[in-house]
Amino acid sequence: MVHELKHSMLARQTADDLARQRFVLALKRELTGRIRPGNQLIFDARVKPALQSRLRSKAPVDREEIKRGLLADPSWQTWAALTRCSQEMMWATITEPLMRDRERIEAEAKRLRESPQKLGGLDLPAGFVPPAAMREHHIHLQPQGYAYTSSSDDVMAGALYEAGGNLYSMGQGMGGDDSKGFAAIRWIKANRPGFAPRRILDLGCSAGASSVPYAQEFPDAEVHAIDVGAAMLRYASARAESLGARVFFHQMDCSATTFPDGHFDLIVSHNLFHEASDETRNATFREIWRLLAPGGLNVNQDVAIQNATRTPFEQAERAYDVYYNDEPFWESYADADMVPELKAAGFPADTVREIQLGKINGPGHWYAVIAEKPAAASSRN
Amino acid sequence: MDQLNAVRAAIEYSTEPRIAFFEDPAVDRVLGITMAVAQEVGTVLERLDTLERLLVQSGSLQAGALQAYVPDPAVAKERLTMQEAFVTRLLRVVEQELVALRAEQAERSAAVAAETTASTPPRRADAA
Repeated sequence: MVHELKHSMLARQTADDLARQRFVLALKRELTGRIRPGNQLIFDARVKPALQSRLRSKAPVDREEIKRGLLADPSWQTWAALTRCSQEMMWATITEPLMRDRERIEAEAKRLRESPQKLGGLDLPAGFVPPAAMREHHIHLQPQGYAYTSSSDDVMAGALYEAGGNLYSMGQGMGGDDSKGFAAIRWIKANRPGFAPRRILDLGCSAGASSVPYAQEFPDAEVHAIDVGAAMLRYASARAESLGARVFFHQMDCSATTFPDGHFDLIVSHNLFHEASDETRNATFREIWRLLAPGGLNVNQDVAIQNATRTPFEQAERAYDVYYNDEPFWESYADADMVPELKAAGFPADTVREIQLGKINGPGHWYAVIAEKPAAASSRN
Repeated sequence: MDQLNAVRAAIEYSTEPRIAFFEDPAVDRVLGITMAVAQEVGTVLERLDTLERLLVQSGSLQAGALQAYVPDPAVAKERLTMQEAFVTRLLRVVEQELVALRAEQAERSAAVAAETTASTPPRRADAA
């Protein structure tokens, strides 16, 4: 596949494996680019008139009614069934080579973890239990789930996440070298020239795809990255080591870390908050306020699906991910207004703002909400 | 792990529930099987492509050469276009529904426009 970075943790793949992946990619591009836009047409031509006739009203139909209407439409059913099928095929297609190469990958992770030349670190506290939502839901339909770990050597969750994430992003039209981390770093360097953070924290780091760029672009900083899955973090750590990046990974809950007050100059999150409940998001904002040093910066990059600017149809159509891609917080994230939430967490009103982050290689832009802790503020307000 | 066991292990590792979108879940099942066949056809297409390219290059085929072939970025891009054409052909029936809907919509708006024009009261020549 056209994966952005080569490293020793990737599964060895045959030409047939790569062909199967290209098929999934072509299928996803067809469904996203050519079939999915037809859902608006289906709604206008069939679903809306049917709903309005049933409700005996010409008024705009509400989101929940539209969801039910789409669900009953045969063309929508076909798109949804194929979309679900493409995601299942994606996982099956990348699980197979990982299964064949699993022993080597686990041994390689162990070698990197135990190497005396190790650059960063891995901290997996005994007895840590991932949040219930992450155990009960298999976000993105990832086999066994995002936070699953089967043994003290298991790295499958991370290996699946990286390979699946790359294929998924490219299916959405993103280039193989797109990077959420670099998109944020480019913004930070342009808007805070000379900013030299001593310590950086990446919240909800997954396989560390965004953590590594911070280590590369801020070589004098100490980069820490946290997530809830042990197998995910074992993989992330080995991957970073294999790429020669110095990152310290920790298994922690982003809403209740164990770092001291004011410990970080830069706190970032990449595609974290659409995987978090309203409660977790707000608790994490309070935690970010506590952890930032005076003069510190917080950048939260995520998907640009904010419902405030969308029609009820668009909101209902996007809810596919909630029900069929096991993204339980996709809709509550899209409904949220994070600016007042960050203010409530302690950030002064004039330091909080929403921006559009240009993608490095892909259509559209990312959403980001930025907050700064004034240089004069104490860490507890 | 060998090829067959890896395929079986990947299936066993997947824990996601089967979802039925159609009234008859058999339709979902047939669709899933069809797409798996399609994926293998896509894979065969790539194998043939590899074979042809190698034959052109060397004039002969050696054991293991097929799987050792790594497409350069330009070839990979060409291959993606090929897969997209294949998928478009495959989903012809789905796209055709949309084309028909679009035509129907256009016809309906044309009819509405015609009706609006027709129902405008004719201006009386002697009004002034």
